[in-house]
Amino acid sequence: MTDNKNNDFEFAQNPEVEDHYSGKSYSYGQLIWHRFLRNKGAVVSVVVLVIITLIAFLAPHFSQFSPTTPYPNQSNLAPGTNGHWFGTDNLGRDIFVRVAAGTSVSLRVALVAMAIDLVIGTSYGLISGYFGGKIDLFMQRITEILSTIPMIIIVTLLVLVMKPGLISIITAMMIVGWINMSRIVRAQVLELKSREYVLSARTMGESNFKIIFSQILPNTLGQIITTFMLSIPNAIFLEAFLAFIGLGVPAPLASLGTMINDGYTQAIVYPYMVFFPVLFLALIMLSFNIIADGLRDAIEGS
Amino acid sequence: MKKYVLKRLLIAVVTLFLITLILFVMEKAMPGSPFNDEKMSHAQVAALYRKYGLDGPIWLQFFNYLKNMITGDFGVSYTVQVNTPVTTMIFQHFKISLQIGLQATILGSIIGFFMGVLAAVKKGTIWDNLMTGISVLGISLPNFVVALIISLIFSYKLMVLPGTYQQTQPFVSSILPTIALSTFTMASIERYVRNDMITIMDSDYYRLADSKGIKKYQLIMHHVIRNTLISVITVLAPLMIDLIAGSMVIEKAFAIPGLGTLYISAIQANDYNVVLGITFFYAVLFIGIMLVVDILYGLIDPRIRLDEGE
Amino acid sequence: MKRSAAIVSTAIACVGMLLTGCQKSSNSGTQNQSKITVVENTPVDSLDPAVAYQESAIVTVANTTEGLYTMDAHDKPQFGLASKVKTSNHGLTKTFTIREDAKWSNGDPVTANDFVFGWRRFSDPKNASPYNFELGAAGIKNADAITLGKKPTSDLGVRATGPKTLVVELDHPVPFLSRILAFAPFAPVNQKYFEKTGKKFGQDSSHVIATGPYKIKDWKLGDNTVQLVKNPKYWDAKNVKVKEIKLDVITDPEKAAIAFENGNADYVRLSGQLVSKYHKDKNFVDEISNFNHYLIFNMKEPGINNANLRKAISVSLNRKEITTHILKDGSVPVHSMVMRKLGKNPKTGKDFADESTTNLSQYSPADAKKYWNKAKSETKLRSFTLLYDDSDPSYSNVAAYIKAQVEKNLPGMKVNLQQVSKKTRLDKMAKSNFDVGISRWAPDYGDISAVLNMYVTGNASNYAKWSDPEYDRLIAQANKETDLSKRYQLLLKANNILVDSAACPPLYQAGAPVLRRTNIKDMPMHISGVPLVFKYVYIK
Repeated sequence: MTDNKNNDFEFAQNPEVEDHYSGKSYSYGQLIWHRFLRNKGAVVSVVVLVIITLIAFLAPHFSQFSPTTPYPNQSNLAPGTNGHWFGTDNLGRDIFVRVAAGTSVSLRVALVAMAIDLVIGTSYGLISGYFGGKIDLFMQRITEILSTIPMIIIVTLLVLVMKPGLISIITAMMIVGWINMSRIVRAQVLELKSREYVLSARTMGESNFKIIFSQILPNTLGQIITTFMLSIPNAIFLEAFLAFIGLGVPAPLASLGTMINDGYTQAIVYPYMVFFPVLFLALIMLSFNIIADGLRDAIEGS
Repeated sequence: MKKYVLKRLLIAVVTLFLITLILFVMEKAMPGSPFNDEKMSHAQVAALYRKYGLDGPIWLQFFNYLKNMITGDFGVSYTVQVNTPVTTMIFQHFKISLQIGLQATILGSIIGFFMGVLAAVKKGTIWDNLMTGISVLGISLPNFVVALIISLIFSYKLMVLPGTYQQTQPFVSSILPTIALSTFTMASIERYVRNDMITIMDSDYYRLADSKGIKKYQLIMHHVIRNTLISVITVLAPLMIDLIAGSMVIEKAFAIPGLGTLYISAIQANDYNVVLGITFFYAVLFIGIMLVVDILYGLIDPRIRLDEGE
Repeated sequence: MKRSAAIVSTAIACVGMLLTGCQKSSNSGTQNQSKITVVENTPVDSLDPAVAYQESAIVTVANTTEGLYTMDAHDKPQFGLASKVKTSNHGLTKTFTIREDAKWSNGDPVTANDFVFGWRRFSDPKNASPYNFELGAAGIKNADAITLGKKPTSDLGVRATGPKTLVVELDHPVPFLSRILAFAPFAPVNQKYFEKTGKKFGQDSSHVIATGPYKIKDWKLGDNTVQLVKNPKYWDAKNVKVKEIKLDVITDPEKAAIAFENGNADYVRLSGQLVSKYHKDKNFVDEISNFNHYLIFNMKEPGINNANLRKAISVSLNRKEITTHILKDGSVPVHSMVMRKLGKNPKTGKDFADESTTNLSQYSPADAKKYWNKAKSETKLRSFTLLYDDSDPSYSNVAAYIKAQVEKNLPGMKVNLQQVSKKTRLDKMAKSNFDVGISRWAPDYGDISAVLNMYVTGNASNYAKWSDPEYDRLIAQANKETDLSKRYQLLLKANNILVDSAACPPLYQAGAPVLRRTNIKDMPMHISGVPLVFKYVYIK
């Protein structure tokens, strides 16, 4: 929004442009906010997400149980026994507290992945798609090379260098996680840049920077947000995938992924061991997705 | 067009060379060797290194690998399927992955496409909410969770479908993995189709056409869906690679001896040639599909000129 | 209206029939048919006896290519392709007579030369057979020098003095020779056939021939199903009762259990957590595996090599708690390096594992404190990393337990956990690049020395790099001793030295619970060598 305001000052001499920008930019944020609030599903999702986040970060500190200390003689208790709301796992650890702690790990992974996707992926896709030609070819080669080297190899190597854990996983995501975003943005830019209004802006001699930020970026926002929100399940899924092949968060730490993985092979014996982490995972993903939809609708003004 | 394709192919070769080189070096840096095992003595391991030519300097090993690769020889497996040519292994395992991947792509994209069209055309109605709800759920549940749920229901409780892949009945035992694998594709396609169609239907030229009184059915068929296809192809291509190249998680969940399963076991066993071979194969697959996508792009939407760089 | 109602009811009936139909056939299992489906959890890596390594491959090779001996349902060696053996030269020469009616499945007679050819391939360092140390363990002349490449394979102590006469020369008498010779790599290889198939030998079912009770039908590498059918050319075919054995590779134990419930499998190994669901099932069999699990301390690492620290850690662990509350799969605590059921006192018949004397594997927080206080004054070490691998999901639970126990009973000590792949763990251990690790070991042949030999100074599998001259002397002496009772006492003494050093404190012997249809008889799990032998199995 501030960009647009700055533009106002720059183009103050031109009444036409001023008219065009001023009224809209002032109410734009508020407009989106109002539209978003009208979407009940999205609002509920925000509330759910806030509650889950609170549980994730507070429960481990306030519960009487520890997420990591084993109590072997309390193992595999059914939900509701001895004050364990979600039951206990194979080592007698409280599943509720572990799900909370695991959620915080998964959320951290997702947030970092989101930030990286957004910053690197969007700018990369914009530059690549907008400038085209040699720059595009070169940048596309880089993404192709990166996305053809399998994630697990990168992670295995990183685990070699660093200690296995969150940092290795996030670093691995940093290296390849943004590629999908950049590809989507590039595709969108390729489509947009031959549109009339971009062409006209170009012929009018606007700078590339300005065209990208005032003409192209706002128009790709819908797609960016969709992709961006889709990257959250991707990030959480990737973390769980790594857990699946034994490269997840090391014990005694747990993420939702490692917990699901642990419970997966015992689902017919102790269904609650896999049910609660799956429930939290699904709730988080659902919420993010519904919020994403709500935001996109609000931005696109439906 | 021809020139463009040739140029892309040339670049593809360079890319593949770089991938092979990087991976070759990275592999040697991976912990362990194919032969470290609690039963093997140092002398035995040394003998195996000699036998497979792994004892020379790395540049020589790489040179030999490239030399053999050009003749189509990707070496043999060291541990997973001892002494079997890697090409044979990839072919055998890929057949299974391809079958399930294609089934899932077809199932997921067809259902997803129709769901998306329905949601967009009936925007704001109960249909839209229902379709969107299903797709949000499809995206929110990781496919291994879907795999768990459907295999518990159909294989464990109802006992109507096998929960593991069986080579003696390749179709019946691939039904559950296909469904589990297709949910994400279905949901993604639904979202993109819906979003894209709505964007187009909100655009000026659509409104103009609409105001001209063209029949809604015609309008959607000719203008909207045609434009939506571009978006679908970009999304579908990477999705398809994921699916065909073998969703490792699904293959693990249903004990499918596909390429993904082979890949994981090769990585865990440090079976260098197999890892290199499969990675190379994935890379060729990926680059090939992306090239096809870009060419299709040009065919569907002439506004995008392929030879822009010149 | 009527019509649609009819359609609906037909549809329901069809679905109902489908459901009940499937259930009926699925629950019938092996009844009224002569076919057994066995679930294996590793894929077959090769059918070449010299190369096969994974358990599924060993089972396939052993049941299709019989050697001189085979193991019966009571774990006793029985003659296979050999019909008799003559011992001479103070037990150093064994002359085997091959059965006249022993034939390959392509019709060729089995000759003594097939064994010579097969065993030479087995010993050839170029093939680097993963089990070639067993030639040395069997005491076959020059075996160790040949596997190290110091002598040609033609020097191996095995030769054919006639088409059906095989002479095996030994370096020293080996009391368990027949047991070891029943193992899969000691299979004969038909030289003519081998030379004809060349590189393809053992890579699919059309490039192997059988001498054993079964032959392989339609299989290629990578397939997750191996079908074994009765071999009509087998010399004892009339006593082979089960017509078909199917090996299915399913790595996830829960999936395997579901396959069992669906009637798609008849023999399935269970993992720990599944036991609580099935332990009352009529098909449940509580077997014990041959895997001993233990800690390994890196004796090259300053601080870790402190004896009091090792002892403190060992007594801070409650092994009973591990087996009954964490593993719950029939695992039992062990107090000896040697697992149960491997060796018996030749005089009293008592299990070797129970005769081992140590109190370093008894849980005692008080002793832990005592040792820890001594260790604190001797070393500055206040943290270490516990290395374990992901080959079994229970390891991370055991590791988490060890961490908690050590940190509780050794105040001020911090344990970091490091989970890696099995290859990486072995690499780190072989390079002495670790502090403490969780390891497991199964004997490769049915004798106590299969375990104790590897702790001798310089042995490649002695990852602790533990060394004790007295121990080395006792083992060397035992390996030469022909009096079984004296040999036993020497090994027992050596075992006690090893256990008292706490270099590799034993933790537990893993359970191997299985689901096996009650009508399947005489199909036990063998503790060493080939785990499953199908020749004597029958269905009642």
